[in-house]
Amino acid sequence: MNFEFTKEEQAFIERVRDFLKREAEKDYASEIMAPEREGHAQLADSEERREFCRQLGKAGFLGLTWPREYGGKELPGIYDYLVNEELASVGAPLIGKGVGIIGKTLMHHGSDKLKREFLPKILNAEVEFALGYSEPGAGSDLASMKLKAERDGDGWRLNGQKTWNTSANFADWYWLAARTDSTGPKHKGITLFMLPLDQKGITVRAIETMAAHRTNEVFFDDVWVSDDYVVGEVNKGWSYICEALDYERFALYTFGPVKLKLDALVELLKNTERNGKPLAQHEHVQRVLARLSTRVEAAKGLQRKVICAAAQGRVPTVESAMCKLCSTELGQDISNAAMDLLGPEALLSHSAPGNVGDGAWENSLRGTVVDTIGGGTSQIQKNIIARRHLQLPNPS
Amino acid sequence: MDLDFSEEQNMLRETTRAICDQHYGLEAVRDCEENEQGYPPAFWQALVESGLTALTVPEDFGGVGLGLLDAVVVFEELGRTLSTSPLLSSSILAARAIELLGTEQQKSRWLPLIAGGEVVISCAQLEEGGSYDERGVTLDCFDNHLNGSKTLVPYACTATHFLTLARERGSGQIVLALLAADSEGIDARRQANIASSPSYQLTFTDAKVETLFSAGDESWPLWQEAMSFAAVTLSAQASGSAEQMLNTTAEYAKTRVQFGKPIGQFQALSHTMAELAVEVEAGKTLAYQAAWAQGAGCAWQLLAAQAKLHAGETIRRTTKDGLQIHGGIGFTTEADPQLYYRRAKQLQLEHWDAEYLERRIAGLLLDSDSETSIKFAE
Ligand SMILES: Cc1cc2nc3c(=O)[nH]c(=O)nc-3n(C[C@H](O)[C@H](O)[C@H](O)COP(=O)(O)OP(=O)(O)OC[C@H]3O[C@@H](n4cnc5c(N)ncnc54)[C@H](O)[C@@H]3O)c2cc1C
Repeated sequence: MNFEFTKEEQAFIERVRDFLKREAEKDYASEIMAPEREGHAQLADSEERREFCRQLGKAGFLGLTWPREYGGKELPGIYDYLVNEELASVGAPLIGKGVGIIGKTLMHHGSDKLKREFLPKILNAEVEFALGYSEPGAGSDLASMKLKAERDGDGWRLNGQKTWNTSANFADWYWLAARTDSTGPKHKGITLFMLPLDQKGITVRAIETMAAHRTNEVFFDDVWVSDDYVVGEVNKGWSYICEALDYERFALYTFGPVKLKLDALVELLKNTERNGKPLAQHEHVQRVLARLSTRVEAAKGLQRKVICAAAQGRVPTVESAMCKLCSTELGQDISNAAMDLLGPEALLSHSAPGNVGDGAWENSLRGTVVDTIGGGTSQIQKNIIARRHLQLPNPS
Repeated sequence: MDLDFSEEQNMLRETTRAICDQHYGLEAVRDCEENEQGYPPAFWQALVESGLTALTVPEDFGGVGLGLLDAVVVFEELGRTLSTSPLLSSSILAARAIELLGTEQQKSRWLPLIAGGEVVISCAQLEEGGSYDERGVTLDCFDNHLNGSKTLVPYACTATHFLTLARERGSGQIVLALLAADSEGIDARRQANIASSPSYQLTFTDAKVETLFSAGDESWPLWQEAMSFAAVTLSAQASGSAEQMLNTTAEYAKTRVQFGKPIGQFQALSHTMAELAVEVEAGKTLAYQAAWAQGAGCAWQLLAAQAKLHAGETIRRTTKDGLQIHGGIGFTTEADPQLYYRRAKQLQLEHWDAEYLERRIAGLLLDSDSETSIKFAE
């Protein structure tokens, strides 16, 4: 057993850090490196952030784990994860959907045309995607989606609604799941499509959230997609969606932000006085920190299990569920504990005179709410652990 | 034993609810997040006209002369619809402090004005460092002038006066200084915060005191007593908010369908809500008991602190779990749960945070002879 990264991996981490150091000196750095943005808001949602992603591509950090025939470097999956940890630690946009879910699904199931059209653009960060899965009636029960795709000439006509489609307001292309067959079992009638977001008939409406995280609902009114832009086979979309989750496991679960939060909190508590001595010297504060730091190490262990299982070619379904549950709940608890320890002044926001810790913790208390909801709620993770790990019977 | 409210108290609840429905409501709550005043003027007017600003002020001083338990009824209703205003600061905390610390003459001068809503008082206690302890008060009072600053002062924008905790130079004793809000030498800066409430940082530069309240060594314990009184009403307010959040969540869980059934059918959620219901009921009763004990002349300050600790934790947990049960909807500004979620942390941390309350409760518990001279563990 060895808990350390290999020599090669460590050398690679240094390369990413050097790259980020150079980027940090550029004019646009403050716009790109925004650690105050919570994880889910780390998107390439501005021109500066897109430019940064292109620089990532130029430096060779996109497609690390892709096969050489598609322009990749054929490195083990852990390398995508290593890049993301470094990006997350400075609050830069993560390498996400394109290199992960979309690129990899296209390589496995896409037509030659789709591969030719999209894979090079993904490697150069020339295209941003929005993920169109969830609907008002289909959240945790995603397979019950209803957005209707009906046969029309050499393609399909889409009518209906999606919701929570983050990035739909600035992305170029849609990675969209729709119902092509409603006669059989719900999992068997879903198809994946690709379509440009600026197409006629698509209306994007903002959903504002209580954190700096805009998402969208999207309406489809007779939107036509040609057969050329169907991904893989018709009615096989659900299996592609599930398979893609496995491609994501490396990239999705960064651990750094939780650790950084705790480190930032410790620093702040050392430098903030209450009743004549630094908070970090108060006994009740020390007890809370002792527990949080223990949970942070435990979460790290679970995260390491995910990458090790994936590196061995296993599908770490249970490990991922444990990791996600543990680290997202912990992220919320750190924010909450921080506010409790810092006291009433922690209520004050970033812009308020007299705030503590730059108002980061009240921001975090709002922003982390979504972490236990998006990407499979905590309850759904527990269901997975109960059934897959403990083999408990399915209640329904 | 009888745990029911009286006919009059039930009517008081109805009156309060009607005022909230007519003049406040969640739409107004949203508007107030954007405007400077932070509450609808018509709402305040209605509170004044219906006597709610005079509720617990003694009859001798122009008040209605009702008790803390009656105030609890009112604040539970206010909490339900997030109908916040300077009522707590002015008619409960400031009025009580003046009643406890003031001379007859001072009381005759100020209490009728508070009762009639002619003056609106904001209490300024916290200073940089955020300590609710006595040693947290350092603002200098000398020769009837104040120098120093305060933080998280509520409703400073519409207050006519500030009741400011200060330390008398020389004696080092705590005093309560009342100043007109428009006096020279007071600078107010708005502080954006998680609850989008009108909070202010106040800086006093040779600001002239209008009335100084002092009871010598007793000033601090008496201020604590006033804080206890207000803590009970704030507990009730938090309980009202928590109960409403829980009801809204349960309603949502009955109608939201996933996997072919209402999500409330999943025991992961129904058990969570059942636990919250227990917390909410217990918290309400705890505040009733504290208020009743105060009115009945029993030891009550320990109960008041326990009620606040419990209510703060309950509102935090109810809003956190309530949002989770709402799924993605709970994260949006369009839906109402976030309004409760953001205010929960404020209710929990302001007016004695948990850490202070733990020490206060332990102090009272271990030294039950003297509710007013508590020794705290550092
Ligand atoms: C900010 C944000 C960004 C998002 N971005 C995207 C995106 O880009 N693309 C996209 O397609 N989707 C996106 N999502 C959608 C996200 O994946 C869903 O919100 C999530 O899957 C939960 O679905 P829901 O909101 O409908 O909640 P529901 O599924 O309605 O859940 C409500 C509650 O019921 C519980 N519940 C449901 N089923 C069970 C069960 N079987 N047992 C126990 N409890 C259960 C849940 O845990 C939750 O507490 C985003 C969501 C948010 C909030």
